[in-house]
Amino acid sequence: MAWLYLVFNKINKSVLNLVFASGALVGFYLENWRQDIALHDVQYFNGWVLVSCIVVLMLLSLRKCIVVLPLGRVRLWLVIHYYVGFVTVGMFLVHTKYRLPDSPLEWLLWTLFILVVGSGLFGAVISRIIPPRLETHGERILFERIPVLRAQLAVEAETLARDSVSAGNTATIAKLYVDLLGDFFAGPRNIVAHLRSSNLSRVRILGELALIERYLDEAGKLALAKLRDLVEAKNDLDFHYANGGLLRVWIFLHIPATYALLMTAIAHVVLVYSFSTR
Amino acid sequence: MVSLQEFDFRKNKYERPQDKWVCGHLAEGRPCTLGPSPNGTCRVTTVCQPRLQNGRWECQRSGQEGGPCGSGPFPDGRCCQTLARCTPQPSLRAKRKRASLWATALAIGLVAVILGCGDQYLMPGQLSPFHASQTKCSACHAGAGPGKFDWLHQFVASVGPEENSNLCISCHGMGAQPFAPHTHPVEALKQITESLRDRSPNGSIQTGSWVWRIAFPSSPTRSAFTGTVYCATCHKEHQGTDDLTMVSNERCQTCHVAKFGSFADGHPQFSKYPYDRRTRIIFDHQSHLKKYLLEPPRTITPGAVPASCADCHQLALGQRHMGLKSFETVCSSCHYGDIMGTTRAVGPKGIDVLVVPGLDVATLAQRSVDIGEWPNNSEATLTPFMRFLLDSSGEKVVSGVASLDLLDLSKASDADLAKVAALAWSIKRLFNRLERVKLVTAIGEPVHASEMRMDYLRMTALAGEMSHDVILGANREWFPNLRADLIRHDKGERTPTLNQLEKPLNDIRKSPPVTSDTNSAPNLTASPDAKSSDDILTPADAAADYKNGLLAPDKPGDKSPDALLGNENRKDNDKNADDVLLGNPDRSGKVNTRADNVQTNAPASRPERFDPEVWAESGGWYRQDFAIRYRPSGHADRFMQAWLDFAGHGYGSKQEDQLAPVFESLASQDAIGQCTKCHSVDTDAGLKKVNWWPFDPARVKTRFTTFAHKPHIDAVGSDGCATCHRLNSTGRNYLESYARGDPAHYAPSFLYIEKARCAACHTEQTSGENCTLCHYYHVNEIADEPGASRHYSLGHPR
Repeated sequence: MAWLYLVFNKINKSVLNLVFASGALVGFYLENWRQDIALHDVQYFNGWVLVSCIVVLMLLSLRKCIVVLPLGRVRLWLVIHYYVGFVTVGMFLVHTKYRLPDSPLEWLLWTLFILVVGSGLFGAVISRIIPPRLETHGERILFERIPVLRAQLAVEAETLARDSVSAGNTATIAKLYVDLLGDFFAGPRNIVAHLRSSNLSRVRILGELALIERYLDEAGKLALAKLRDLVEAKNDLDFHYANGGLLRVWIFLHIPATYALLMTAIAHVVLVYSFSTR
Repeated sequence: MVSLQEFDFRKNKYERPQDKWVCGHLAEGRPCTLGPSPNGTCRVTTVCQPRLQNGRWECQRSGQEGGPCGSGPFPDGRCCQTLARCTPQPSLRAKRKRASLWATALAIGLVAVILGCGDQYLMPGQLSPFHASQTKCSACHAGAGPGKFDWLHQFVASVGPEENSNLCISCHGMGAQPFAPHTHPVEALKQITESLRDRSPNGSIQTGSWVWRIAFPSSPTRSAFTGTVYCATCHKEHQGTDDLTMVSNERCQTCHVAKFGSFADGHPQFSKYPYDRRTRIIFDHQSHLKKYLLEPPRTITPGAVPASCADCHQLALGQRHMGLKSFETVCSSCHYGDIMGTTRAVGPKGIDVLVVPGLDVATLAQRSVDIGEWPNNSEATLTPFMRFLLDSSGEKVVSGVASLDLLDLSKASDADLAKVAALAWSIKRLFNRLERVKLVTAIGEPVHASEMRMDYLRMTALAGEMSHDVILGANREWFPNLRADLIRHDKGERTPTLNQLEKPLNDIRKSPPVTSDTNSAPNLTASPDAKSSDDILTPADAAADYKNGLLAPDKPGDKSPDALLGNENRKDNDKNADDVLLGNPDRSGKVNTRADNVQTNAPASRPERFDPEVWAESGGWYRQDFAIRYRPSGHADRFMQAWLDFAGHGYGSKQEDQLAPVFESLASQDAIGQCTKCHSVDTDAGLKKVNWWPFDPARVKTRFTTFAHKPHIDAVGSDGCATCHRLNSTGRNYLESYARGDPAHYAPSFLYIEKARCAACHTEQTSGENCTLCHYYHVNEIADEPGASRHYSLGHPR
């Protein structure tokens, strides 16, 4: 059996997981077909399998809540969540017979399921893309501290602007701060651009700073340089805010839709058994 | 480069994202270090909690916030810096939880609205067009009630599938066993399985499909399914316009012992398809197509000869089956003469129904056996019809004389002669009854004695609509004093005929002439009376005899016996001799017929020979040779049909001895009408049944297979019908197979259709190979009762 262990080690685990998930889906299709040709009402079979899979998917949240019991790593549960979700999509298609619904309750079920699946797929994708992006963009920043850090930067920038006036220089820096930088430092800015990893807004602001440099003396240039650093830092902070925020926002759709789906599914089961003809 | 944060426990506070509340000043960037309480209240008061150390209060502000302040605590130990309280805000996780609760509540609300809106919103899909008129769930769901939420009760108290299916069969009649597989008795299905097993090589049924081997690895030796199949098993409603009757091939086969993948590969070979019995109408296609139709008789009208299959066959019954065109359209041009007898070379063309059998009158007279008047020239034998009519009364007068030669009783014993007398009087009573009693009643008495139920129309057909004058004329000619004789016989008195016969012959000749009276007895010993019989001689002979013998006109002073008998009008009577249907001409000459007038005025020449058989060429009753005969009036003659049906059903009954000869006389190879030349006779449970009609598909109520000719006719190539129906030219004798009464014993005109013929077109890609394309699941005729009122209660069908 050692050779099996070696083989598994060599093969990409993702590929292996995908193979197992596909195998499970094929097994489900086969059993569903057997049930159908054996004159069973196959909708009950694939419906209950679908509900079971949804319950398994929801166990991830439960695992995150229960930390005292040795239930395995959350990462493992997340992987299970991914692949069971992949299989669940296939089961859903089988259960709905690859058709659009044609009744209000079924439309509600269908819509909620699509929301859950769609948000889940989206979350799975951005969970792969955004963390490396955050790792490579500036320093590590805790999302919960972003407002504090933003306030610090704003105070520093304002202080710098005030000091530039009191130092006897022209009000160029102050004017630039009032016209442009004050709003920039006031809160999160250029969210969409940061989600697209675009530098356009940063370049634009730095360009404005470069424009006034010629009009400054050495002290002013020093102040401008510090201001430039603050702008860079604020830009990085906004990047982290935008991408980190996205990592947290998508789940605002995924989880509520899941609970709503569960409630609607319960109503669906009650209705089905009430009008059951078998 | 600005470094925004440092990861040092002295310089940063520990973040707790799982907390439900965060400080309200976080958005400003100045959250307090304490944070809100778990229930969301702000706990902040002062910056620090001063500590008394060495008699002095010391500031305890954390290093993260800048360490001890410069001003220090108040002397009483209060911190000098008070923090502004905030309004705690829910954390991201708390917000997410709230969103989940709101979403759940919204979903529940929407579900409640949907469920409360009415039945149409509960439906999982549109009904099929067939059921679209149903507006109430309770029409098909036994548990549903009139209330909006009655269905909730059924979630707890579930309704079984049989109760729901009973609602289906309240409109769709499915026979006596609606929930049996194929709505057919299971035992019958088992027999079919066994017959398939018997036909299979090695006596086992192989599963020839890899699909089935994967799905069901173990090969069943018998069907595991002997239970019930409810309607919803196969018929799924609420699928909109989808075919409600569509069932996959795999589902069809799940109960079958033999499973296969495709029609061409694995489907059992056809066995004796589509002919499992001989045709009801005897028609040798081989001889007709190869010989008769190529060389039709000269009498056939040009253009009347069928040139193709469509000239005889046509689509019938919903264009599914091929029916036959009518006899008049197809067969009459050649075979009409067979029915009417015009093609008969010898023998009578009518059936002897009622006859006066020939008796040895002389011997009876000598031995003083009184039978009254009896024609002494008759040589007729009793017909099967008369045997039935006479013996049905229970007297067995016919069977009593079966061993006697009725025309030569010289060696018969007295007992035998008594039986002959009994026969004679029975015949006379029969003729009398036929004359005086309603015909249907007269024939009905023996028919009802057979205990066979006959309605009035069939009784009328059995009677043949005989005219009263036919029997009346017969009686007048053959038994002029019939009634009087019967009365005397019933009283035990001797008839005048016997008295006369006992006198010497000369006394008879010298006796006063008999008055011209219709009641006078004929001279039984006289020469054959031209009136009493047809002129059986040829016209030439008749002329000679007419001159020299009985038929010669009386000459003045002629002492011929006829003259002595006072038949002055014999000349006229002779001329009217053959006018049998106009009644017996009165000897007094009172009857003045057109024939009389014609012949009276005509010159004395050879009389025309009247042939009553020719007269009755178009069918009906006529008298000839001491017999009342019936000539078929065409195809589907009711008289012939009624007697064949009646007599055929007599087999196996207590009257088989009487009815069997009737049947044989009508069904023999040279029988009048030639009915059974084309209409086969099946022996069914001992009865003989004539097949008057060809196969009627509408009579088949149980059918496993279906075939529609119309789409196939449109698709065949240049070979037409022969594409599938090929003449069977291999050594067989088609007509011989009809000698026996077993319809299963036959030699088909066409070769059996092989599966390969159908599989050539019916593949998955072309014409389709669904099981339901050719097979019925519901093998019984389905009765639909649209609009029928349904009365049901839970668990009880209508």
